[in-house]
Amino acid sequence: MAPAMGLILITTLYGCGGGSDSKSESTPTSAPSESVSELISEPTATDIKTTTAVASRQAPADFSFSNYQHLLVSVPDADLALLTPGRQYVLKVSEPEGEVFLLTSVTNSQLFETSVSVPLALSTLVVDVFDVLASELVITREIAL
Amino acid sequence: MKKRSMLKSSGLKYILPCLLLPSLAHSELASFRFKDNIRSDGVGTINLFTPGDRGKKSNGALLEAFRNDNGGNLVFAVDISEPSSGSETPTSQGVALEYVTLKLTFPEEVVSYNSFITPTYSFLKRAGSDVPVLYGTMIGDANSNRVSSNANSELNGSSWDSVLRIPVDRSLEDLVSAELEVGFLPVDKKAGDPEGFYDFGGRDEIIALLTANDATSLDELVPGRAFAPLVLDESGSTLTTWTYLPSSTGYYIASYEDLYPNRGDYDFNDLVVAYQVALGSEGDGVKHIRGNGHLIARGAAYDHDWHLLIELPEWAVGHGKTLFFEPGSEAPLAGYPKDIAVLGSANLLLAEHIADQFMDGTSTYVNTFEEQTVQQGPRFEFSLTLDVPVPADEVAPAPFDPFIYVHETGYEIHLAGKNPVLGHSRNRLDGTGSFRDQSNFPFAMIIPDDFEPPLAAIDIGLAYPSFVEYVESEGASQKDWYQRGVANKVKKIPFKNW
Repeated sequence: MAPAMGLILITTLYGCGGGSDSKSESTPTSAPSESVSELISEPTATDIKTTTAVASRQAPADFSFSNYQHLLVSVPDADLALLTPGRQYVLKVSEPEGEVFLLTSVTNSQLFETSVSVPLALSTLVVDVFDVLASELVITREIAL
Repeated sequence: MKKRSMLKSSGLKYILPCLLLPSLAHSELASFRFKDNIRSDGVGTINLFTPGDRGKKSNGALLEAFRNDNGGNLVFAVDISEPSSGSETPTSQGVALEYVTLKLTFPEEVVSYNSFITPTYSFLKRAGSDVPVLYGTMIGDANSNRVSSNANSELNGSSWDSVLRIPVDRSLEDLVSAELEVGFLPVDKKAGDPEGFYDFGGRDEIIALLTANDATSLDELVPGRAFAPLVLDESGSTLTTWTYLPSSTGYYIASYEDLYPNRGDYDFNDLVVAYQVALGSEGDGVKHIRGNGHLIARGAAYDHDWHLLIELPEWAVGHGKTLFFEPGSEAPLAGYPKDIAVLGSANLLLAEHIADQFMDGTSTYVNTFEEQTVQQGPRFEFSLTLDVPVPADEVAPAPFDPFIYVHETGYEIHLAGKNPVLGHSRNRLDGTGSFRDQSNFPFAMIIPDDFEPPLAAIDIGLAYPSFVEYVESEGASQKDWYQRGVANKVKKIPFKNW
C-alpha cells in the first residue's frame, strides 16, 4: 500500500531558547581559575592561560543550554480516518538513521499523543504506522523539524 | 482424612500403595533441562530423551506425564542469555522464534507438530525483509535465582525465563524418539528497536521441560518483560508502551565542572556520564521507569557521586533496584543490586565515590589526556515500578535532573535552572543554587552523544569553536556545535569503549 497522505502533528513543547533577548557583548570575566588537575601537578595538554574562549563571554541570562527539543507527536483525526476501526497498528517515531524514540501498538480508536526528546540538530523525524495483521506500512511521514 | 478412614475400614490398606502409584509419580514430576542447547547461531535440535543430568532418564512415559500435567501441552522453558547490547541489558533480554517443530517418532509413524504458543509477540522485520510480521517472542533477564515449589526441580537456583508451549493431542507413552527443533528469527542487529532487542547471538540458550507448577510460576514472574520494547499479545495489542529518552539506542551526555561555585578551567570533563531512560506506560500513565548509563570520562581529583533525579508527583509510590558494574563485568559489583523505595520524586544514586570506581592505573584522570589509551568505564542500571501509574504529564520532562555531589567541597552541582535537593550539601547552607557563574555559563550541560569531551584544561569554547555562537544566539544558530570538535582538542571515546 502506498503511503497515504495526511498529517502528523509535531508541536514544539519547549526547546533550547531562553526568554532573554539579551546578547551582551563579550563582558570580560576573570581568568579561569586553576583546575584541580594543575593543583595536583598532573600533566596537561595545554597552557591553561590560553583557555579564554568562554571565559571572555557573557551568556544570555535565561539561556537553558539544552541541546534538546521536546516535541508533541500526535496522530490527528485526518490520519486516524485512514485506518480500519478496531484494527491493531504499530506506531513508530524514529530518526531516519533508525534511532527509535517511540514504539507502541494502538488501535485507531485511541487518540495517541506523547512527547519525544530529540537533539536540536535533528532535522527530520520519521513517523510510521504499520498494520500488524496485514503486515503493511499504512502511513509514513518524514517531518522536517 | 475422611477418604483415608474409609480405605482403612474396608481393609484395603495393603493395595493402597499400588493405587497411589500413578499419582505418586505425578507428584514427583520435576522440571529438568536437556543436554542439547539452542546454539548461538540461533538453531537447536534438542533430543528430548537426553536430559542434561546423566543420572536422569527420559522416555515416552515421562514425556506423557509432563503432557498430562500441563493439560495436553509440552511446556518448555528457555534461559534467555543474550549479551548486553543496544537496549538489551541484564534486566531485560529477548529473542524471537521463527519456527518450532516437535518431531515425534512412534513405532508406526513420525508425527510433527509445528504450532506453538509463546507468552509474548512482537512486530518484527526478518533480516533482509522490509515487511514486519508478528512473531512469537521470549523475554527474560539475567537473574539466576529462580525458586520452585519442588526442591527436585531444576528450576531451583536457575535462570529459566520464558515458556514455550506446544499442544500435543496424542499419548506419548509408546514414543520411540522425540526431537524439538527450534530456530530463532534472524533480524538486522544494527536496526533500532524492536529488532535490535529481539536479536540473538553470542551465547547458547539452554532449554528445559517444565511441570505445570513451574510453568505457572514463570508465567506469573514474567522476567524482563516490563522493560522489553513492543511487547504484544497474539492479537498485536500492546502490553506496555515504551518511550525512549533520548532514543532506544541514544544517550544523553551529562558533563560537569566540579569547582562550583568557581568556574574552573571550563573543559567540561571533570565527570562525563552517558545515560538513557525509558518510560513504560500501562493504561493511563507511566508504570515503569528504567535506565542505564556509563561513566565515560573523568578529569578531576575530587570524588563525586552521580544522581539522577526524576521528579514525580508527591503521591507517587514505587520500588525498584539499582545495579553497578565494574568495567567489562556482566556481574554486579558486590553489594548490588540495591533496593530503592520511592515516595514522591525518585532521587536515584547511581554511582557512588566515583574516584574509587573509575581510574586509569593510579590516576584519577581517565579518558581526558590525548596520550591516554581509552579506558572502558563502569556502568549502571536502574529499574523502578510505580504502584499506581503516574500520568505522563506529571513526570518531569527529560533529560530530568542529573547532578553530582562533590565530596571534598560538599556542593551538589545541577543543570542551570535546577535547585539543590540534598539536605546535607553546602548549597543550602550557603544559599547558593543558580548553577550559573557570574557570566551566566553553567556548571553542567546535557549534550547529545556525538559529543567528545575536551581534553584536560581545554576550554570548551576552544574545543568546539561554534559553541559560543550557539550560546550567544540563544540556540538559534550552530545547533550542531557539539558535532564539530577540533580534532586535537577533544578526546575520542568510541561507543564500543563505553
